[in-house]
Amino acid sequence: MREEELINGCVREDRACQYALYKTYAGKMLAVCRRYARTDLEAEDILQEGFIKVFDNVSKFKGNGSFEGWIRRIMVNTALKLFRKSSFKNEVIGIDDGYDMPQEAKVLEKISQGELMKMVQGLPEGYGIVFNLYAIEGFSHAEIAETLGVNEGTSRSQLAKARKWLQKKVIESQNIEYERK
Amino acid sequence: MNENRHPIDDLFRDGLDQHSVEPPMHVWERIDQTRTPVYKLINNFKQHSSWYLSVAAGLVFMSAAAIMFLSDDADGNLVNGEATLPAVNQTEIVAELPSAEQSAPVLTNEENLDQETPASITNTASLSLPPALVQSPTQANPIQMAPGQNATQTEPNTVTETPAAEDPNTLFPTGTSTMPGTIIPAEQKEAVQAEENPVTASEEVVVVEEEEIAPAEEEILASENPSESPEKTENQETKNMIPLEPSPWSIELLGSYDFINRRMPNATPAYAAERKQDEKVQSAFSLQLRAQYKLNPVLSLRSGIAYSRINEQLNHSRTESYTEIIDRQVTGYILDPINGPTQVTYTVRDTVNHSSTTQVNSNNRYTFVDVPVLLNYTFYTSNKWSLGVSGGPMFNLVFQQRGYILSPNQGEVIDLSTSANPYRTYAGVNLMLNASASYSLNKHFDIVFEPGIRYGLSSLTNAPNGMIQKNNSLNLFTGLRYNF
Repeated sequence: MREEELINGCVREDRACQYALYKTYAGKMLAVCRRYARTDLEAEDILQEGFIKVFDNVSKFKGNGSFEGWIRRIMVNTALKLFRKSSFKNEVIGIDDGYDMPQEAKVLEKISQGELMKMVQGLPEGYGIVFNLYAIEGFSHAEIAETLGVNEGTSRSQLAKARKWLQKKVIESQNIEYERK
Repeated sequence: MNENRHPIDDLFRDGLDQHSVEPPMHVWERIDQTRTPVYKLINNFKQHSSWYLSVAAGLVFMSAAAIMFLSDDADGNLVNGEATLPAVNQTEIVAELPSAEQSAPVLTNEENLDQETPASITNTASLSLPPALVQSPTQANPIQMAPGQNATQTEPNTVTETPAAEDPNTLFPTGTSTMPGTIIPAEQKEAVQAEENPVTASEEVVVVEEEEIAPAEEEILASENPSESPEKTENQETKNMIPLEPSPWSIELLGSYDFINRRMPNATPAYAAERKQDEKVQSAFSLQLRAQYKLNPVLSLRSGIAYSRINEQLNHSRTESYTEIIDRQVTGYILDPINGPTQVTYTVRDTVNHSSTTQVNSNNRYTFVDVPVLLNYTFYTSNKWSLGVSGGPMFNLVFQQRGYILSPNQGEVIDLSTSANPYRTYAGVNLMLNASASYSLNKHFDIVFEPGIRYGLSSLTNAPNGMIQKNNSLNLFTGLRYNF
């Protein structure tokens, strides 16, 4: 079934179309939800609430941009509703980005999706949200600041900390790989 | 979009952007359930329950005010329940005769009756009988009169007590068994009309229900049987008396949507502000089942059991930061211009600033079971409405809590299921003060409206904890009263 037919069916509240839409996007969207949630159950709750919003508001989709992007944005906004502005401390600090990346790019490529997901999920909450929004969803710092109700400096600071934290995890992962070899 | 890409960003974006995880089937089942019209309706009501309840409460009070206003206007001639009926025609009321041979007294009513509302004859009409025909209520008629009933109201069983009944010839000069205005059972109406002057009967016969006539029939028979002793007749009369005095007992079932106000007199401003920000009351309600005993026409005692619940949402986040220094040995190679690649070991010191945020989301629930003991004072009564005030203590029996609250030691959250729970299991004494209005639907049922406040006298928390918390609430009780 074509995407347009799916959308029109969902507008008519056709259960079969709704299920087809769900089957098409649920896997990717659950992966998105898991990056923001602390537990798998929480991710499933976000997915459920997100799809209910999708079905309730599908008639408002005007075709500007991809439908998948629209659904993804709903999932992200639903996830962000779980977290409060107070999760972030407004702070502007000097950011030292001098933490060197390992040069062995080939090693990095070997890190599995599962390991990457674990690393992202292991990020402290404030870092994780900013990193997900900036690095994966493609938000700018201005958009993040507006979405989360913090200032841009805070967003940059949290992103820098997240990068450092992830770099450390990647290096540790590499070391483990070396030891195994 | 992003102005500065970083290798880490690329690594994770490329790795996770198209990542997919098969969701469990129950997620779709839960989504599918929400697509049914019934679920949507219920969910819509839940989302707007506070609004709906507020509107309903408003409508109830507006309706009550409108009914009270219209009722007062329509019943403007009612004073303390005594009715003055509009003048229509002069009517004669005659007791029904059990047979054509039996004579019956003729009672001439000096008052005017509305013939189109025969029920009003036995309930609200104020009837005056000629002294010769009616025994004085103070002399021999032991019937207890209900408040608002005129002492001269005619009851079927009082008719046979009249001395005039012993002289049927005087009462029936025409010798007929039925006179205009005779009270007869409905099913005998046609037979009576066939025997009597059809014009008179059809115009002036007043029909009453069978059960209202039955006592009169029995007494007529008893009075005409000279073999029965006077004591027996008196007993029969007593047996047939209608207890018009209402029972002083009634029961009430009331429900209220509550508005909660929390007082923490010794809390620091920061702690009070944090709790106010993080803890939001979602809904609160009370149910009361009470018995009422009327001490006298204006005072009554009310007591029973009260169940109250407060549903609260806690959303709290706490951020903690610390710095970790990690020294690690790294082995690598340097390109020595003399010796070529040489293995070296060096120390790398990592300084990592950790910051973690703990988020607590909890649906808190507080449940109270109390015994109210209220004294009610009624300051206004009409035939339908009763207005008053009531007040008294509410003694708590049970106070249960579930969920999490913020600790006075800021930054900590207390699980209410643990021994650290600062709340007591007994919430002490509250004071209730209500305005009370009731509208009589019929003989037994009243609608009751009771807006009021509940003021917490005792702290809900243990004193050693150092935190004092008392709850006040605004209640909007509405319910039903059954009068025995």
